[in-house]
Amino acid sequence: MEIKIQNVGMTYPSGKQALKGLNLELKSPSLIGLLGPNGAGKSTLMKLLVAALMPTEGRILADGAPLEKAERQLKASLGYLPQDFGLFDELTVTQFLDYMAALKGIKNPKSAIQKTIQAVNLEEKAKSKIRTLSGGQRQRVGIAQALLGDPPFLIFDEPTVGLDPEERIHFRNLFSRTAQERLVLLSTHIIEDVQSVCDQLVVIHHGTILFTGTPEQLIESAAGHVGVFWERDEKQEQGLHITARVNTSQGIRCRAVADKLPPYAQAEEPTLEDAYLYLISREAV
Amino acid sequence: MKAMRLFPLELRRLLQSRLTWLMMALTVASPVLGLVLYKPADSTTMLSMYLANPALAGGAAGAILFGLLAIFELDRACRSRVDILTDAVVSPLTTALTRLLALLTAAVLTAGLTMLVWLPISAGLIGSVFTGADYVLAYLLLMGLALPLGVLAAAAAYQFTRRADLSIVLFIAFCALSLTVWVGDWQLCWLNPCVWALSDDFSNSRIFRSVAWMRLTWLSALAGVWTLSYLCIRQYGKGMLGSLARSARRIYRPAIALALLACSGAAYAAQPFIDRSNPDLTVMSFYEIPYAEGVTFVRRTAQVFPDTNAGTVTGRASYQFQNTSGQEQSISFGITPGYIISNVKANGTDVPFTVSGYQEYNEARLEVTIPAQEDVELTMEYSGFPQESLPTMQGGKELSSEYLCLENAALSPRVMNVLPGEAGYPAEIEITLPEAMIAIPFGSSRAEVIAENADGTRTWRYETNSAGGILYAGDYICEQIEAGGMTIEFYYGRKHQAVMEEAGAVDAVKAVVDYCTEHYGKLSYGAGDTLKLIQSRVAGGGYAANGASLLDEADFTIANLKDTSKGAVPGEIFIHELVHQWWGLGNMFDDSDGSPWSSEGLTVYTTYRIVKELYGADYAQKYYVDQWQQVVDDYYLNFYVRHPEYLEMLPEAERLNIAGSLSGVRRYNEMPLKILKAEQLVGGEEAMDQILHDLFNRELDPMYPYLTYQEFLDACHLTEEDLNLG
Amino acid sequence: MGKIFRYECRRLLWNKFFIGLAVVLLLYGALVLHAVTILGVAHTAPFSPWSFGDYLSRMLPLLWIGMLFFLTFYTSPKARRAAALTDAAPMPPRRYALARCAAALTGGALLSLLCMVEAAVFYVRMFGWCGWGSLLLPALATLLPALVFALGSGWLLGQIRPWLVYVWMAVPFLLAALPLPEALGLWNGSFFTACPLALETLDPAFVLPVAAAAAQAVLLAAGAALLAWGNRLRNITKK
Repeated sequence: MEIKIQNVGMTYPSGKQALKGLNLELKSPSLIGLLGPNGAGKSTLMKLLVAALMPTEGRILADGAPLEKAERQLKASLGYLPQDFGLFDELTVTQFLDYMAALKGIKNPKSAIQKTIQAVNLEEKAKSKIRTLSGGQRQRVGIAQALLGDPPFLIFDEPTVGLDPEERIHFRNLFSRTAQERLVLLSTHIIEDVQSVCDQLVVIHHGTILFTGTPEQLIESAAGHVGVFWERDEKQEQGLHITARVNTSQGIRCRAVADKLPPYAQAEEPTLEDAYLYLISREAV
Repeated sequence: MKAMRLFPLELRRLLQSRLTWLMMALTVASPVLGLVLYKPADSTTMLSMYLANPALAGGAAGAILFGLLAIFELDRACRSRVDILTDAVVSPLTTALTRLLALLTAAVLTAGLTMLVWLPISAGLIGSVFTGADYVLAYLLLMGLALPLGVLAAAAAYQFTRRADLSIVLFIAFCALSLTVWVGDWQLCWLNPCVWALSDDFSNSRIFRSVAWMRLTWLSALAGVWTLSYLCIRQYGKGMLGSLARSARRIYRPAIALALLACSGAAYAAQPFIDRSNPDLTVMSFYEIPYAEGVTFVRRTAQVFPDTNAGTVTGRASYQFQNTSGQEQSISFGITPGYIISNVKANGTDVPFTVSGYQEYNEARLEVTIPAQEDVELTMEYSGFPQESLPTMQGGKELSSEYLCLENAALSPRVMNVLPGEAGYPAEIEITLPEAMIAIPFGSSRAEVIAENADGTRTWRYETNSAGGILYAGDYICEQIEAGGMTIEFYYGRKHQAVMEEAGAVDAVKAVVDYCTEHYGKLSYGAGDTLKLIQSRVAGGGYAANGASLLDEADFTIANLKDTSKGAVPGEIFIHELVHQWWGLGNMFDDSDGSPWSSEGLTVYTTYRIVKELYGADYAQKYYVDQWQQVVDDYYLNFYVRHPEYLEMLPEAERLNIAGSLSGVRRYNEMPLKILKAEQLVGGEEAMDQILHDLFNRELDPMYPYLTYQEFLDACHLTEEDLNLG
Repeated sequence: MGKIFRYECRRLLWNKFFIGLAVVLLLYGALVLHAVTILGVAHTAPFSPWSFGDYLSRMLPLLWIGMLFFLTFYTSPKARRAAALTDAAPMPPRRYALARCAAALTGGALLSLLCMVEAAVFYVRMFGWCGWGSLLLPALATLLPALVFALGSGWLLGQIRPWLVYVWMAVPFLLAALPLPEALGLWNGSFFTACPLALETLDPAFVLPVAAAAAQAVLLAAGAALLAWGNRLRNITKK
């Protein structure tokens, strides 16, 4: 599976420009993490990729074919979990997945449903009405419907919202396994999720791409820009973005990113989170 | 008490919502529906048209709008998921109570606003018969109290179901029930009270009391249901029953709910307004009670004391009988349901008596055993709130300081199984009334003031000769009119004086009486040469008895009298009722067998002739003959007329209903058309007038004094076939 | 597609709402049958196609509302949130819409059937009459175009603004208040009282004048066209 985004721009009828001049290539197998602050254009990009929106500029190619012509083929090979979605509360989990399987045109729905129910740990709730499920369980139903039929292209928008830490790790691993032979696009705010499973990162800010590459490359770009220091009374220097403040018995220990570290700061090895914040803060300046 | 603290906050929030203001504005405007679209009060009095209908429409629409607003407001928190936040701070039970109070306050504000906005409009439309008291009561009871009912019902539905869509369906179904299936059941139609008329010229205390009773019954019921639903508000993640069990731990809460429901049930069961008369009007078992053997009626006296504030009657009655049987005898009396009988004594000694639970034609049966003495004086006391029979036409037993009507058993217990003595059923009635009221016995009797009491009341006395008798009293004006060689005493309400004078009603009465006397002859009955015409409180029609005729105030309304398309004479029903003095009373008809020949045929025909003389042949042709013809054509084509076998197949209730309506068509339309055909066959109007004159003045057979169809045909020298219209 | 249809039917018809609607419909039907239909219209028998058609016309506003209520299952905010998932599925939107509309139509048909069964029971109980074959044509002529039009127009309006579906529910009441020309008499029921009188024979057999038939055909076609348009609109607005 190969998705090419060429010079894509998206302006909503209200005049709001969500994306501008976006160029990106996504190839399977890969697990791509999509990062960006709120309102950066992540959800718009995903909607474009599932053909829920049409770009106002540029084009998207799915396996070489323009998306407007290959919409059906794309959807046939797509599993999608939006950030905000609804379920048919009056159906049971199995019935809802059966419904989605029929919509997806899956040939042998029974075994596919069984498999995904197992994958998302919902065996106990398989016969329960959806209206009786908790928030986390509903999220798992959402993930299950995306995984139904083993689609080669998966898009998850904030998939681990509402899940407990144990479940989050479970799903992280599941996404990682899934991505062994497929293309998975994972949009999230949780850097930890990205760091532990993604082999590629895309950072969007203000509708444009700030970074594409591996997590290691992003971390590398922040080397020498992360430091720690004891908080002092004097006025904080400009261009210093504090990423952590820890109260200790000796005083307050701060961690910060900056283009140029002040002399009193001691350089530290950057984490992915530091690197991401450094990237965004640089953009903000 | 947290609810009270939060209440101003919630009210402010509610009043900041645009939807609330939209609903309030629509509610304030909704009485306009009663002027153009929704007119449940079908009487034509000014207050029915311009006060009752707008208030009823405002009530129905307002209750629905406020119900929807309540559901929307209760669902708003759930929809926007604010409930998660608020529930963490305040118990959801407190929130529900606060919201209810805020919604009820908004409803009260809206009702007040509606009254202010519609005050000048109503006063302008109603004209001189407008009174502030009627206005306030009508808007308060017919409209105002509907709004809290709507809020309570809708809020309860939401609190039970927790789903806006389902609550809306349930609430609308509940409203629809009231507007359709329960529409004739005065205690069940919570949304649209059974108000068919409000009187312009007299008081409306009875109908207002009845509506207030219904509203309070429902208020109690819905408050109870709401309290139950309040207990079902979901808490601690429990379902409906779990939450109920939890909330009911504070025992006073379910106790309040049950007490409210019990109050409502008790109010429903113990309503004092409507009796339990047998709905089958073909049963007349009280007329089949065998006469007490050897007992004859000597005399009756009664002292009646209406309490015009409470709407009740207290009275003492004394009956003198001659018992020649030498045995104890059981005497039956008809008493008005609602009255309690006490102190029954025969010749000063207590005697046993029973009152039947069975009721018929607005009477229960009182049975008293009189001793085996020849002269028996039976005395009894009675008191209570007189009940009515027709829930959809309440107001007939209005009893206030402006108006009262006491009919037969409502005046004093009516003897049912004692033969008249030599003097018939002589009676002497005394009634004590407020100073402004004058007593008018319906019939030839004349009441006189016999005492002016210290409390400002006056005691009237009159003598009559009947086992029952009807008495009207009110703030009346009496006009003496000389017409047709008689003196007509025309009584109408003081409020109406200016309108009557402007309309020249006196001349109109004179015209009708002159016409009938000239064409058919003088009325032969009554005491001497007087006829009382009494304007009654709106009653849906009039009736006539010896020496008196009743005219419904609805025929004298400002609107009706000013309707120039009807010419100078007010209301044609007025003419119709007056003509019944000749055809119906002057000449009697045997109306009991349901045959097409009845007093209505000649009355309708004569009304047509008078109208023709007054407004011209074209008008009479258009509004009388053509309409009869249309109705009769439809009648002959009616499926059940052509296929009576299908009518026979129907269950009794349906069959009687259809047969009744078909029989009405024949009496009021087919027969007048046949008489018109007879008129043409006998040579025209003059010839027919002569025939009718002769029939009116024919010698009567005292055993069967009725004018039969055969007599009419014989007089016309025609056969039944000659008058076939087919 | 069969499965989608079955699931949609299950969602629409297996809930408290449908049962409530059916109960209201039956109560109202009983009221109409006992108060109006029993008298027969235009001098015909209560069980004539004319009287039966009049009964159905009186039931039509409720059926119309029921039909539009079914559509709210697809247009409500909750349903729109679920559309985030279903829209990403490869099933062609038209086929999906067809399955859903078919389910709504089945709901409408079931409600109509309920009305007709109620009338049939009434006829047997009151008159021992069971010549139901003659009632088929008036039933089809009255209900089918109206319900298909309700579906098409409701679907389209639901795509534009969900609340418009609720406003659209008032249409039959508006039509009842309007003096419609003879050809459109089936839209407010006046056809069944006026047409047999115009035929000037007693107990006329049921006939559908060309103008009225054409009006119904246009209504049916318009319903279908609006349905198709609604689907296109759905695709356009999405993009």
